[in-house]
Amino acid sequence: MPPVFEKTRMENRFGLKDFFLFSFLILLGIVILLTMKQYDRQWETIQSISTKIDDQQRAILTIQDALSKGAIALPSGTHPATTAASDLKNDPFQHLRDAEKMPGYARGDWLVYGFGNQVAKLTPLLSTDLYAQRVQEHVLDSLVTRDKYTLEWKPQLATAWTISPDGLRITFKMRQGVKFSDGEPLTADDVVFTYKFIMNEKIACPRDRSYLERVKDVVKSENGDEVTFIYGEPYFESFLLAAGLGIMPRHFYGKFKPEEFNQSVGLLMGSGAYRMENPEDWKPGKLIQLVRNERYWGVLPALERLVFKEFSNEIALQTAFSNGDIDLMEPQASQYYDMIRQPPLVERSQHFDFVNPEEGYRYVAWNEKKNGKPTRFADKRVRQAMTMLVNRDRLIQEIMLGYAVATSGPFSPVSKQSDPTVKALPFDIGRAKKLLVDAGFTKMNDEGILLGPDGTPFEFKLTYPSGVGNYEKMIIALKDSYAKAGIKLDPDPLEWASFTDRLNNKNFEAITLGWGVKIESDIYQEFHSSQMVEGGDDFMSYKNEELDKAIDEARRTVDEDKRMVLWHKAHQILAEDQPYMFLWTRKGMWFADKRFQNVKVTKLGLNDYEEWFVPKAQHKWTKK
Amino acid sequence: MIRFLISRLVQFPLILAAIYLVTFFMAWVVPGDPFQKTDKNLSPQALMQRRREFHAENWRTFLVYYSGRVVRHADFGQSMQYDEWSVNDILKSALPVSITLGLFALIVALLGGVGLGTVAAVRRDGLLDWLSLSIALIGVSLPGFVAAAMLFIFFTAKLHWPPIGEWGHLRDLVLPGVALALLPMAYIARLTRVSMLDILGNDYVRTARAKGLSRGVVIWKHALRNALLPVLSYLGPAAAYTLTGSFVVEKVFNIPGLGQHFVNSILNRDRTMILGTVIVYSFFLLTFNLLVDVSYAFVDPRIDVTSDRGDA
Repeated sequence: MPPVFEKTRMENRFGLKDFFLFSFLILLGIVILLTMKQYDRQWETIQSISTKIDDQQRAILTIQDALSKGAIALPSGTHPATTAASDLKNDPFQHLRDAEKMPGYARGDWLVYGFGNQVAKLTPLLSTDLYAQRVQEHVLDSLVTRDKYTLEWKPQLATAWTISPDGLRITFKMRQGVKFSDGEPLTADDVVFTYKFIMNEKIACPRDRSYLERVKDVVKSENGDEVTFIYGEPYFESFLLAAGLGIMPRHFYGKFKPEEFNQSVGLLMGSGAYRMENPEDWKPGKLIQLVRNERYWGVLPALERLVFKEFSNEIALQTAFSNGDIDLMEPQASQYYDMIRQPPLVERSQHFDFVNPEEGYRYVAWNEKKNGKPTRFADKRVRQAMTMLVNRDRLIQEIMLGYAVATSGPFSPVSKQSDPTVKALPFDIGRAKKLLVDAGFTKMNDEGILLGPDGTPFEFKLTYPSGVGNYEKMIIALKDSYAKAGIKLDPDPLEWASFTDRLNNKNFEAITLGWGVKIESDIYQEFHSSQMVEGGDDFMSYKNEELDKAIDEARRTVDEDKRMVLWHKAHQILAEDQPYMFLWTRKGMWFADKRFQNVKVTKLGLNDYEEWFVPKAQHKWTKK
Repeated sequence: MIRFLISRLVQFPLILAAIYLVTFFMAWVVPGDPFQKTDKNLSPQALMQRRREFHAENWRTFLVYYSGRVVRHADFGQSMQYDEWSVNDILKSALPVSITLGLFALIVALLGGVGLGTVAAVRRDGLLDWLSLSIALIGVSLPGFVAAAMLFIFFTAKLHWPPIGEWGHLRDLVLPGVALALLPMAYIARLTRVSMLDILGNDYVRTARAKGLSRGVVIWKHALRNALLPVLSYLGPAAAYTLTGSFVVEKVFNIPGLGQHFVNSILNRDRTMILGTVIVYSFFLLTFNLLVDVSYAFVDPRIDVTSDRGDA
């Protein structure tokens, strides 16, 4: 053994040979990294070549189209189909035309938008997630669209419309000369096809079908200039049902068997300002890219491409924005708070926060009946007191960092449905205590907990989804608020699957959650007493006949002004009754790269990307 | 050897079937209903309809229908959570990503670990030994998610490299691969060092040196080959770790792999998806273990993998 020891000791020195070995290993590492980089560069070059080929293909298409009309190609933006229809008041492209006149307006560059989730399907009707919808709205056109600035309806594929006095027939006059992105004309047949396609039992779109069930039929006029939607009964959303339908090309979707369609993931084609490069080959995980539709019937947008990158975690999304890998993101309140405090980031970006009528609201629902017996929350005074004990403005500051507004009912404070005269119940501990005394909560036990008329301590469990958003923080703040009045709140966190179980079995005392809303929301499912049944969403067993009447009537009223009066009444009743403690509606928050011009806040969030542009000198993605 | 292979291959489906059954019952008995997934309630009729669509009226109909489908068509059915996706669709898009990442990490761990271990053993108590020990210590004590977060903060957030949000470049593999490889690499380095030291003290190594063979040849051809046996047996679990343990790393680096679906499926009680991911992961684990056993025979022909002892 001795020789081995000696040898080991001798070899412990870091000799020249080791130095070479070490250097060789480092060199090897560098070579590998460089090779990878080279490979990536080649890949990028191939990508850019294919993009260029595609751009040229599009240019050729435009020229072909123009030649087939016997005309010389006009510069985009002065498309013959639209200039004819530019009755200024009804011009759907007024804002785009205004943008074209702005200094520095130029075509080109891309918008890279960071999605906060992965998209599973892009095929219309089959996809259900919000992000897929954000892609589709640039590809599919509807008959009529809502002007984001005024919330008024503006013509799109239809140039005009008439509603029969009984509200049972809506007739749309079709715009002439509109083509799908593959050059086929869009006609009344495509509108009829879209309706029939959705109503086909074999197509896997039960949601859209049940929504459209109120439409009894869709027929086109003899000359094909008009389509009429026929309804069985008056319904407040009947215009929206017809107007908002994304028109699908018959020649494209019609060629698939229902089973093929149902199994598809990326079949997306329409007549919108953008199109998929290949309307059939998108798959989950593949980068979603829309290219400008050079055959678009309207005014062409400035941006050449809309790219949608998917992120499964917030930090990666925020880092990608900070690094300039994406141009647009919708941060969470805490991210937004953090981002606007980073001067270099603020310097090279623009940010927006605003109250959006399409943001939902957060609430706490009080269960009024448990195991067949009324609970202490069945008393309206108790529910009102529970609201008045909470300082919502402080909650909003602490939990939403100020990026929310308090609500007094189920409608967004900026929607027409909301009655502006209704004021939310104030934070008033004195009044709340008085209400509780009136309701029979007069004594306290040794632990300082309020005793009810039946002598039981006022203790309740507040059930909330664990690990989701900021519920935890909110519960702690509420617990604190109620403790001051001698009410004990026991937090009851449940993971989502068990949470919904509890909700559906009405097995809870109080529960907190959020609802989504629309510009005009139907509150039937949440507050109409008929929805106490299994499967309805009146899981708190709340009933007010006056409210039921107002909701029923509003849903039957086609005239918007008359309907709003009824919604206002519903709002007043709900604010008074407090079946929920209405907490807040989150603000919409956005960060966009500074090079984009004409980014504006409208009544419906940010304006369309179609109106944005980047001055030539600042083009980023098309520079190469 | 062939008999051994055949018997293992016969066991293969039996083990998978057992895993399928156990997973199925566990997924079935946990509270929570995969069909009440939205906050808006479903009517009882709609709920029943949904159950019927998924053949999930009761556990027997479910088990019979899906096990049949899996056996006949290797089809795990539609995801209960995402109406839009079939389990096979998800596997098809996410599995290659996870496997690429897992294999890359495994290769990094193996090359790095064996390299470090060998150098440390040959230069015992020297600078390189100390260096390799430090790296191994960091690797073992630093959880993958911390390493991933640190790499992310340092490289992606501070140095702005590599760009994120797109998966497809080779460069996208580097950081997550290293984060994932750190732990197995540390183990492999320590294993190699210990067994290498053991072998280097053997008579046959000294004889080889005495014969006049160069040190490199002795280490490379005689010592390393034998020292690798314990490393080989660790490769099975290491592969399991890099292939399945990538959830957090995938999340940090925004990689569209299978890890997130695996975890989400459990949270969502997405029974078809749980079964799909578990079976696929099990399949890879079993395959890796088999490959490791077979590779014993090549590295050291004296080991009889067909005997009970060698089968361990």
